[in-house]
Amino acid sequence: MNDAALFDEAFGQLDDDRREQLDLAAASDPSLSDRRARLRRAVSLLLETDDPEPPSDLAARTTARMLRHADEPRILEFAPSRPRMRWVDVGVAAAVMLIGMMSLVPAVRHQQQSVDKLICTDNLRQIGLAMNQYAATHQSFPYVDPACPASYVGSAYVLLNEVGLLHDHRTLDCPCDGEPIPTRGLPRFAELLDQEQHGPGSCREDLRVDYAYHLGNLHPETKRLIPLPFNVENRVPLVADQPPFRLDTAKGSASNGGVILVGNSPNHAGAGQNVLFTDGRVEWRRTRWVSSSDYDIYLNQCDRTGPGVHLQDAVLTPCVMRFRD
Amino acid sequence: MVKATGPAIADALTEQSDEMLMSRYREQAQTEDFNELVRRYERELYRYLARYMGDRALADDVFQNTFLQLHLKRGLYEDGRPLRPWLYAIATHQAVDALRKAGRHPTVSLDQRIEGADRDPGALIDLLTGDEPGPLVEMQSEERREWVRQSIAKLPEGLRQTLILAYYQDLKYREIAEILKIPVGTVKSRLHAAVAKLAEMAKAAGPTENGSVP
Repeated sequence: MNDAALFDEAFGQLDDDRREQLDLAAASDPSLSDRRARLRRAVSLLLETDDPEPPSDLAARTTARMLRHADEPRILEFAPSRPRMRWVDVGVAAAVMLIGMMSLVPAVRHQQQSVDKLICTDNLRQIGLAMNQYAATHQSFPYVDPACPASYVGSAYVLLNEVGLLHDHRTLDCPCDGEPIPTRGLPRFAELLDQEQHGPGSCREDLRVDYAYHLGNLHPETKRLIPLPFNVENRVPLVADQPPFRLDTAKGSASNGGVILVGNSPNHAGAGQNVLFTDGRVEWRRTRWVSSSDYDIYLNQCDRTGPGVHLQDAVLTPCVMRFRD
Repeated sequence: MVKATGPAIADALTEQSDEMLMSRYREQAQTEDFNELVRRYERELYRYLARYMGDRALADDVFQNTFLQLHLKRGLYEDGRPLRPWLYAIATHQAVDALRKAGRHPTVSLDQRIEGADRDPGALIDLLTGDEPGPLVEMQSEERREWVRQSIAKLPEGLRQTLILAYYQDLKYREIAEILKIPVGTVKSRLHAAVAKLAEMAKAAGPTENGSVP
């Protein structure tokens, strides 16, 4: 046993096993035993003091002091000793996350609506370019004579497609209405005519697109339908989001169309409609009124679903309706 | 849960370990548990404080403060943590604060190099066990106790704390290390340094020049 063990023993640091070892070593080594005894004596002499006794009422005063403070609210009183995760905590966290995500939904929806509206505007710009190129070549905007069995307003887009000016039929789909147009694209005019001859009204579904087109105007003298000329003065509405309408099926499948209802285009949930003018510009309109000479772009100045009564009176008609005098 | 009453409570309290009592006091804050803890540590903790502070009135006040802190901080007690070192640590902090407020700042920094801290235990024992009787032997016991009290009071703060905790309070090295937040090796070296310093003071206490203490 070394001197460190003797020192530790004098200061009460040895456990029972080491003390037994020290006892055995001291029993067999008189000099160690003597050294051990002298060290104990020296330490007890060096550190001898009386033991101060606590006052008799110390415990009682200590408790009284604690009780005086017990009623005072302290921050530590509110600190949980062991934070435990409970189901209610999970529920609260989930609810907070859910509310947070739900609060984002309107913003995301609004953002999506803005993007869709921009796509709609771009669609009309592309249609405007195609229409103007067609009109520059043919001196009038696309048009089908009312006497033709396939004289649907949507045939104007079929003609554009035939001459290669409409590159993608999805240009005719307004993304804001949530309803896609037929995916097979527009038929050729010959197919349309053939199909209409065999079954009047049967090709309406193929022409169900989202944008209404200019119906044409009545000639002031002959009172017959004429297409909108290329060099029309001022700017005239040419294409727009289709109006709310009801197809007239009472007169049979070959009927002229139906009835234009009140209100803005259903494409944008009644908020308004994008309108393409002959100068190629697209404008958002909150009402059907565009100018003093045309207060309703879906009806003529006589409030009827028919051709415009003068060149500034545009009547934009759904594609499933027909050109007519 | 039906609460025990009367003598049954007293029996139940004495069977509980300090740690179990403290855990229960944290949860229920019953005065009986607090009283039992005060009763168990009254003598031991008071003696420590009286020796460490060298002033019984201050020790009395700090003892009460220590248990008031135990009550206020009961929410921080962790199950299974040994109560004795925690209680001593609170008491030591309270004592240091009280000494500071009383204007009795430690005269020696705890961080400074302590002479004798690296002394070999063998050399230390040789110093303590000289052949010739030293001046302490010749003193009357009351006189000697007073000398020891004053000499311990003269020790630097860190040495005094360690010596009192190790010798008078019978705490193990690791418990002292936990209370003072120092390594076990530092506890030992401080203890050696404290004893060496006392031995040197004892040598200087009398007219003898033989260099031995007892």
